[in-house]
Amino acid sequence: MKKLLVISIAVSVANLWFFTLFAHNIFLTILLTLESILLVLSFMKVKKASFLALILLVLLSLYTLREFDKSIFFISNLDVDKGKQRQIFYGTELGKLYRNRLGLFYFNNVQVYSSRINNKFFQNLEFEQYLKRYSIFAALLFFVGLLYLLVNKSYVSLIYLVITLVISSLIHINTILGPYLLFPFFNLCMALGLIYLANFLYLHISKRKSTKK
Amino acid sequence: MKKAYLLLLIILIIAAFLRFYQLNSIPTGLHGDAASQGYNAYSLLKTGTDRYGQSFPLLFRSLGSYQPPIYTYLTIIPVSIFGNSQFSTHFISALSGTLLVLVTYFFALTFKPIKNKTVFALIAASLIAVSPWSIMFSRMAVEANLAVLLFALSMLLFVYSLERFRIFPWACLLLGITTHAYYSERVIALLFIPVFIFLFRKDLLKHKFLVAVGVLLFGITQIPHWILFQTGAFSRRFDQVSYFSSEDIKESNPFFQIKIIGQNFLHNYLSYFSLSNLFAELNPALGRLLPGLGAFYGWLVIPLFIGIRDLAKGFSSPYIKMLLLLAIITPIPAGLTGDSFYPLRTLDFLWVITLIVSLGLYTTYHFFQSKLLKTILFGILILYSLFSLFISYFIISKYESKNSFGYSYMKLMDKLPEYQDKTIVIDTGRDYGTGVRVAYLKKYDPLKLQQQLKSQLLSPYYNRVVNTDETYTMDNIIVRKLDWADPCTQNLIIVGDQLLVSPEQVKEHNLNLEFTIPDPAGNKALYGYSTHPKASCK
Repeated sequence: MKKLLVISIAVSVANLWFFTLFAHNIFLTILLTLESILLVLSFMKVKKASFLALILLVLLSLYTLREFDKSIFFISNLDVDKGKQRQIFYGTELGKLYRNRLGLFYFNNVQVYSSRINNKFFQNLEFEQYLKRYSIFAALLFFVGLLYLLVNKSYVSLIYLVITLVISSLIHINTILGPYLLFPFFNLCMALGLIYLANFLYLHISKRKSTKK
Repeated sequence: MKKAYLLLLIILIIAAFLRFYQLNSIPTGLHGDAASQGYNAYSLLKTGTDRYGQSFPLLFRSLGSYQPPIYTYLTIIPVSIFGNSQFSTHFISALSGTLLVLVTYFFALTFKPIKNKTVFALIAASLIAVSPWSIMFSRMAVEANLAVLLFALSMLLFVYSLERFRIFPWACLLLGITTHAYYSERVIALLFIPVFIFLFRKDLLKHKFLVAVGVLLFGITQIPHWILFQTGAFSRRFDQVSYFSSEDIKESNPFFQIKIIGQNFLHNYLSYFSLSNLFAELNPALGRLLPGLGAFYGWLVIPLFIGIRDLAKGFSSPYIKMLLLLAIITPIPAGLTGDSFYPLRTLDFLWVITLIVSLGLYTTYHFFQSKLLKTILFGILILYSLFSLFISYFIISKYESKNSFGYSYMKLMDKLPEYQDKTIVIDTGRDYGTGVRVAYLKKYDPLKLQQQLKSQLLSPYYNRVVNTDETYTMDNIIVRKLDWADPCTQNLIIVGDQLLVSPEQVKEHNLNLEFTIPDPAGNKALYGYSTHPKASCK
């Protein structure tokens, strides 16, 4: 298990994303690296690591929410026109189901904003944008590590992923730093993927050697 | 078991309702490709040949390209029963989408690693029944939707063949036939059979004779492709949609050609695994999926991850191996085309993803102990999903997808009888399908049209070059690209969209606005002008 800690620290610092973060905000980079280590420790089921990881996540989230994406609630003239036209469609097709307080509130407010947040949420799930910050080979490591996490039901890591995805849906992510709250999670997945693949290859090679003998 | 069949019947009824409800009016209009299939079916029914007078086409020449044949041949049945309507052209697709639910149920039943296979099969069937991708494409006259049904059926036979080897040749035969239903299956089938035999070589190679018969039958179904390959018609569509013939690639040296092709392929192939493409709204300008929805409902991303986990856990099972194999190869043909994420070309992949999501839903379903909690949770999610689907497809899409389906041109047909004493020229500038759409809806005599179109062929029926500049003359209606010498002709009505005639041209050519045709939202879409030639024309 110590291997995992060492490898995850190595993965955390040996990538382009780390250097971009470091060049722009040293304090944030330190916190994110610390969070990466805590996430690995919580995966290793070290006492209090999960608690500390979640506390640090709350602090990082509060810090991140300073960059709240106001465009989620910005209505452009184009949106106004589109909205007005759709109101006519809803009115024609739904009649009284639309023309009541609840219907009007849902279609004119809830639907527009929820759809924007939903789209932003899925933008965060575009793995391509993260892999550009590592390298093309990282894709394999990441997916193997993610599968390993899913199979082993590491709840803290998965809760971490869900929270960071939700928070990242509310902030500007198309910046040079990207959705950096996910940085520790990616490091964990890649470290796990690297260890799993290394073990797999080692076992495969030693099995071959023993059958040859 | 009786209860399961009753539930399956209910699911089938829901699936049929979602696919056939208002099929004659939603989507609003008739796509040019659908009209082409419809008219060719009508022409085959009346004369035994297509609209160019070709007997038993192996591919149907249409609008600058070719259409795979099975859909058009099957459309003869609804056209003969229901007549020349929008419903008839969409019927086979809607029926395929409904039957896909049934095939998926039986396919899911074969999944041995699962304890309660019936529940899993019912979940998979339900998910297909209400999936946005399946509903949307089932309501369009697209060959791909028929192809996914045949493909799923052939996969069912392949799974059965692992236990009853005599089925293997039939599975190969059906997969071979599928390659005549849609383009993507040509590539998928060629990749699938050798990999399937390799994966299950221990069992299959005990029955070498049956494997050989299967491969032979598959080979026989490919003979028409070989014949067409010589003519250039086989690869015409691929030339149109792929990036292989782009200028960048043509002008590069072999090393860069490989590099560019590799990069394009990887980018487009991976776009089919993008979660935002699968679960969130695409750029609506693409018009490829429903407004506000992805191929799947957003909340299904959670069962997808659980399904992937289940796949990883049961990797050694042959069924899981087959599902993974399908997940890898089904997006390959779409990755070879120039568009990034074009769902129509990869319905087989979306079917596989639906099965993986169903696997995750099955695990989630068993995760909750309380029946009440399960009912409330799944009930709310299903109701909200169906509500989103209704708003997106039956309301927003009904009004906003009118341009792709030539709605206004269909409405124009009601107006034209008022001008029987005049010659009407309908411009085809931005919609090549206008001529065949008018011919289909007017039930224009196929023999007369065959004479016209045959003489306009600038290349043999099967060829790499397919011209689109055809003129359809049907009684007093002429459909072709507008010639600005036309306004010099007396007693003419010119019809086109708002980009056809500018206010300056109205003045210059002394045109008089006779009528306008609205789109479903009430905006002016088509304009009809009468001509009044002046001395300047002479």
